[in-house]
Amino acid sequence: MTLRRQLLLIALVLAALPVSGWFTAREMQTALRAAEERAGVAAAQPLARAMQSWLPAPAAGRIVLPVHPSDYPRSIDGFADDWQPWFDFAQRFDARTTTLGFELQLVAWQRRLQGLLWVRDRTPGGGGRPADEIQLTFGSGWSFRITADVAGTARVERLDAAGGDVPLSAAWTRDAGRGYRVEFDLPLSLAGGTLDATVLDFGDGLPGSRPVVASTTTGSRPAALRFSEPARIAALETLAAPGTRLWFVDAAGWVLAVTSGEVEASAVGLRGWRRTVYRWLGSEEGGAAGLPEPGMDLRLGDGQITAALAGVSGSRLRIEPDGVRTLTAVPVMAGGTVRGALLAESPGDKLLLVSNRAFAGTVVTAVLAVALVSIGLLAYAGWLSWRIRRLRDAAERVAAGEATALPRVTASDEVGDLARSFERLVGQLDDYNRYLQGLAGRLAHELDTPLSIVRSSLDNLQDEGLPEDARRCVARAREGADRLAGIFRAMREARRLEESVNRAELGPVDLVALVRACTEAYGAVDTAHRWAAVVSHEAAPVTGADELIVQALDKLTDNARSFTPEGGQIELVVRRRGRGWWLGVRDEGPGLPATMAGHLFDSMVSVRDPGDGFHLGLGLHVVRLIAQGHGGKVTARNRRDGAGAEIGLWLPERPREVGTRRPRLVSDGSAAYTP
Amino acid sequence: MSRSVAVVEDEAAIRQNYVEALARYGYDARGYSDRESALAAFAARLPDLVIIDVGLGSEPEGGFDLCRELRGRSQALPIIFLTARDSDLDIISGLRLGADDYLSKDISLQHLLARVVALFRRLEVLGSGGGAEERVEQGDLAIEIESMTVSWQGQPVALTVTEFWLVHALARFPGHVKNRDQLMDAAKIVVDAGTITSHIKRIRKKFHRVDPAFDEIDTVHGMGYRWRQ
Repeated sequence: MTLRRQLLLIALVLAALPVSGWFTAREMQTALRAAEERAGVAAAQPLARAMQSWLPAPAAGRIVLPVHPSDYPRSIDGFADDWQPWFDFAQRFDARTTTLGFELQLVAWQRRLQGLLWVRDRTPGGGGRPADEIQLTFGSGWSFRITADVAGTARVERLDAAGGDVPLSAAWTRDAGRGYRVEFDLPLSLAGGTLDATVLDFGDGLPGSRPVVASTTTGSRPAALRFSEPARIAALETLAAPGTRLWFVDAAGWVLAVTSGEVEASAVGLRGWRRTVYRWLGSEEGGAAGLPEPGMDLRLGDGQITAALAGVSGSRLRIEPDGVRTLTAVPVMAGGTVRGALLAESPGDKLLLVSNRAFAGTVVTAVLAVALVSIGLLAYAGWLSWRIRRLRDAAERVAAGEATALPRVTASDEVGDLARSFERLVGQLDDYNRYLQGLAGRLAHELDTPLSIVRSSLDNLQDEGLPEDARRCVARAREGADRLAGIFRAMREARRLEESVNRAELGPVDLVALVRACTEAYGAVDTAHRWAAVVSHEAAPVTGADELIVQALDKLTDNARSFTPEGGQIELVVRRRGRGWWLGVRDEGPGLPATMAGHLFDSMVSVRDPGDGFHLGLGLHVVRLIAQGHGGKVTARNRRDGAGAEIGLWLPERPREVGTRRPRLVSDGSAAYTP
Repeated sequence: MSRSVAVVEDEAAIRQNYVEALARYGYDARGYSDRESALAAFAARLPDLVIIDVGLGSEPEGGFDLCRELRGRSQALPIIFLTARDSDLDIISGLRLGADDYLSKDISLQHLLARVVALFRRLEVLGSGGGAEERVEQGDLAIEIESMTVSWQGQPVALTVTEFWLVHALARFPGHVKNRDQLMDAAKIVVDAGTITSHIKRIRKKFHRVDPAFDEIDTVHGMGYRWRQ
C-alpha cells in the first residue's frame, strides 16, 4: 500500500467524526422538539379552556345553520352567481314528498344577514309565477312571508304584526324549469338565535288546497343560527401572545375566530443548503401545505387540527422560505366531548432555531474541516512521497551510472536526513571508486616495469646461444609475458578511452552517413556475412564524436560477427527514438541469454563459451562508456522475430552535459582486448 | 669506432638489459640511473644517441629536463624517450622537446634496436649531405626515405621516426585505406588501436603548423586511414 493510499484511509476514518456529530445533533434535535412540543401544548391548553365559554350554545335537537362571515355583500337580485364559492356549504331541506326541497345558505356581511334559498319545485304552478309561499320566522320574533310577484320582484309581508316597517328585502328569479331562487337581506340585530324557514308549495296554485311543506324546523324546534361573533374574536385577541396567531375552530373545522396579528417569522429565512440541512435533520414534520390566509369563511383541514378534533394535542414544525413556525393544536372540550379546537401559530422557537443553526454551522464547519484536513494530509503525503520518490529515482540514477550525485537537500526533517545520508554514502562510494580507479592505474604502471624487466631479459636471453630445450622454455615464457602485456595494454586502453570520452571534442555527426560508410567498410573487410544498412530517415544529426561512435559500432559489429553464422545477415540500424536516435546492430545469432539481462554491458562479462578462447568481455562495456559519454544509453534485447539479438545505443540529439558522467563503479580496465 | 649509446633509466634491471642488448649489437652502451650521473658523464663528451626514461628515480619528469638540457647542447643528438605512461606521449609532444622518437616501454628489444639503427642511419644520410636518395613525392608532400625527413610544400615537417613510418605507409599508396594493424606493422610498434588514433592526430597537428589548410589524411570509418589522392 502506497503512502498516499494509507493516508486516504486515515482521511476516511476522520470522516467518521462529522457523521457521529450528525447523529448526536439529531438526538439533540429530537429531544429539543419534544420539550418544545410539551411547552407549546401546556401553553395552549389554558387558552383552550378559556375559549370553552365562547363555544356556541348547544343546539340540542335542532338543525344548526352556520352563518358564515363574508367580506363582500351579495346583491339582492335573485341571481346566485355571487354565492358561487359557497355552494358546498349549503344545507338541504326536503319535503316529505319528492316534489319539493330547498337549499339554504346564510352569510353575515358587516352587520347584515343575507340568505339564499334555492327551491327545487316540480310543481312550480302556472301564471308565470310560483304559487309558493316562503315564511321566515326569526328567534327575535320577527316573521315574514315572501311571495313571488309577476314582475320578478318579491312581495314581503310581515306575519308577526300587520303593517309597519318591513326590514327584510328580497328578490327572486326562476331557475329554468327546475324551480326558483330567493335572496333576502335583514339587519343582523333582528335575527336572534334561531330561524324557521318554511316553503309552502300550493301545487297548481289553487287557493285553499293543502300545501306541501319543506322546513328547517324539526319537530317544533327551529334551526339554530351560529355566528362567528366579533366578541369571540375580541376574546381570542386578548389571549394571543404578541407575534402569535390563534385559530378557533368548531368541531367540524369551521373557523369560529382568528386573531388578526401577524405571525413573526424567525429572524432569518431558511433557504438553500440551510433548508436542506434542516430537512435532513428531520425538523420538518407533516405535509408541505401551509395554513391559508386568515379569514372567517374557512374550514381548516390541517393535520394538526384533525388530530386535535380527535382529542389529541400536538405540535409540528413548518419550515417556510421566510422562517420556521410551529403549529400547536389542542382540543376544546365541553361536557366531556370535543367541541372545537384551538390552533396556535407561533414563530419557531428561537432556542431551537439557534441551536439548529449553530448545529448546521457546526456540521458544515466539521465537514469543511475534515475535507481540508484530508486534502492537507493527502497533499502532505503526496509531497512526502514525491520527495521519497525523487530521492529513490536519484539514487537509482546514481546506481545506474547516469548521474554522479544526488540533488542537494536542505530540508531538516528525516527525509532530508535520509537524503543527506544517501549523499554521504554516494560520496563515500565515489571516493572509493576513485581510489580503485587510481589503484588500477597505479597497479598497471607498477606492473609494467617488472614486466618490462621480464620481457627485456627474455629478449636478451633469446640472443644467447641456448640449447634447444632452453630455447623452447624461453619461447613459452615470452608467450606468457606477451599475453600479460596484452592484458595490461587492454586495461590501459580502457582507461584512455574513459579519458578520451570525457575530453572528446563534439561536433555534428550524421549517423545515417556514418552507418552507410561503415556498412560499406565492414562489407569490404568481412565477406563471410551479408551487411546491410537499415535507416528510417535520410539524415540523423547528433552532436557527438564520430571516432568514438565508430569505435562503439566496431565493438557492436565485432560482437555480431562472432555470433552470426557464416552467410547470415548483419544489419546496422538507425531509427528515430524520442528526442534522439537509436543506433544499433541486429545479428542472426543465438540471441541473448535471459540470465545476462542487466549485466551485459558490465565489464568482464561475456556470453561466449569459455572454450572460445581468451576474451575479456569488454566490448559492450566500451559501448556503454561511449553512450554515457554522449548522454545516451545502451539497450540490448532479442529481436522480435526471434532471429537474434539487437544491441545498440541511444544518442540524444544534443548531449546534456558531457563530461560529468562517469562509468559505474570501477573501471576495471579495459576495453576490447581481442587477441 | 663503435657508436656510443647512453641509456638513462632508473630501473637497474631494465637498464642492464638494454645495455647488454645494445652491446651485443656492437654499440658502446652505457647506463645511467639518474639525471645527475648522466649529466656528469655527458659533460666531457656527448654520446651519439641517448635513450631516456621519463621518470628518473625521485624525479617523475626528470627525463624531460634532461632532454631539454641535452637539446640545448646539441640540436643533432638523436634522443629516444621511453615511457610507461601513455599520457606522457602527449606531454612530450606538447612540450616540443624535439625528441626523435617516443616509445612505450612494452616495445620489444628488437623494435627498440630497429629504432636505434634507423636513427643512426638518418644521421649518416644527413651527414653525407643527402643527394641521390630515394624520394617519394605526392602532391605537396616530399619524403626522403634515407634521411627519414618529410616536407610539405617545400617546408620541413619535424616527424618522429614512428610518425615518419606512418606517413610513409599512408602516402606511398594514396587512396588506399590502411587499417590500424597495417599501420602498426609499418611503424614497427605493437600498440592498441587508440594509440594509432592519437599518433594520427599528432601528425595532423604537425602538418597544420606548416599549412593550416592541410587535410590530406582521411579517416575512413570502420576501416582506418588513407592519404587523399
